[in-house]
Amino acid sequence: MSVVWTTLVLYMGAMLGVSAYARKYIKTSADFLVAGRRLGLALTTATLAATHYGGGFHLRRS
Amino acid sequence: MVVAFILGGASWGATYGLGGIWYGFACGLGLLLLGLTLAKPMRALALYTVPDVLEMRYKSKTIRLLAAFLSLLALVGILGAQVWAASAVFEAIGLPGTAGAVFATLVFIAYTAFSGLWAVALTDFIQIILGSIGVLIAVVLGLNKVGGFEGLRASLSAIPNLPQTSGEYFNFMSLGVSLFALTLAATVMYTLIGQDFYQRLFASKDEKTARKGAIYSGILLMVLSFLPALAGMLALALSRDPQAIIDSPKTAVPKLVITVFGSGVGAIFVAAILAAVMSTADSLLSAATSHVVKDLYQSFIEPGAEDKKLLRLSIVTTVIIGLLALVAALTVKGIVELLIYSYDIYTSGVFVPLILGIYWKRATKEGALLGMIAGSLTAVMGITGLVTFSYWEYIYVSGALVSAVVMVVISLLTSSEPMDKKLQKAFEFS
Repeated sequence: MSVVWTTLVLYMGAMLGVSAYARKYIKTSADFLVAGRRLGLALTTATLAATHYGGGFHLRRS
Repeated sequence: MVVAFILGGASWGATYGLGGIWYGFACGLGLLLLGLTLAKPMRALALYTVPDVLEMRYKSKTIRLLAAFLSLLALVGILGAQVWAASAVFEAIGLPGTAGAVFATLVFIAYTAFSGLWAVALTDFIQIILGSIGVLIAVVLGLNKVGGFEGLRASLSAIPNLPQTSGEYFNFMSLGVSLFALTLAATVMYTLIGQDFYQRLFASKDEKTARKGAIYSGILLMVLSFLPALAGMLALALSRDPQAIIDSPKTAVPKLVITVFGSGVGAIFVAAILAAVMSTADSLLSAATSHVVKDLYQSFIEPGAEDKKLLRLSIVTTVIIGLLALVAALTVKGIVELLIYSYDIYTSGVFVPLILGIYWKRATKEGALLGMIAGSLTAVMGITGLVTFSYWEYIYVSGALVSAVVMVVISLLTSSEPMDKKLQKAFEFS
């Protein structure tokens, strides 16, 4: 199990690291809420796809 | 039905076989249509939220408030469901679910609160690559282990109590025409009005990027949609305990990963699935924050608030909403389930007022408001069981039809106001 935890901690740490890096772009509320309206094509595509990507499901339905 | 590509698609794969691809396909189709129709003109408005657009169109704060309220409840509810999803992933690999879910949730709250949509977009980029490669490798190795498609067919036919005959697992239309059509309709409807999508369109650097981003992400998901379906089928075929997957198909992907790789190497892929869950959770969280800050606080409480204050409020709101969803998901399950119903109400109530309002100049605010209420009430009747639908997804279609009729009739009975210049220009009305 230690392999699992090591991997997970590394992954989570990387996400936090990315956020710490992105902090320098956050000066206004528009930077925070709509990324200063500056997302390029790669990030726009990824973040739109990712919004549909995850694990939501409803237990009582299909 | 709440849209979710990997775990949802895999759960459908375990239940419907290749017919499960339509789940993911619908997500992609919604984005493609969004790109082809609304993405570009909506980006031109350079607003923040969908209720923002509604207020611009109808000059009504009531409509804005109602839409924001429904959307906010839905986003928080679905966020709670992501906490459950994270918990299910940890449990499937034999780790304590609650502790794992708390850990994953605190991490995505932290990175979203720290750098907002910038953190969300950058992590999404990494997460979608990690998630796709993880599931792709799991499927390829799984197919190898089961002996290709012939082996998959043979293994499935040996499993007792399948939800459908093993031959049907290779039939793309196994889910039936009604469920197929309704799934496409419901998912496309939400994608065309969901704040989580529009926030990202508003964040793109220009109109062209918004349009292209939506089209490319749609094509990407359509192409990838066979992966989760195959993963679900393989999980069933390779599991030592297929009955457990039949009973709880949402655990299909994590189970596949552990069956194929063992718990050691499987860790990387568990991280990949968690990445997928978190990439959606952070989107919901940032969208919910945008409603609180823009549609509730700035619109109703303090229109002239200083930007520094709005930024601080955004950060605090992100933390509070994230923690609320976490606590609700872990303690009062019923509340999260109730909140998720707001997703059905929002989709049924807001779709027609937004879409018809944009394309029909004659729409009035009275028509839109009553249409929104009528569509929402139709959904409430379906949810409470006052009206019975053979498939859940009928709720959206029925809600939309009722709201369209009400909106058209009331609009024609009331007088319309001139449309906002900016809106008119963006959508090129004559």
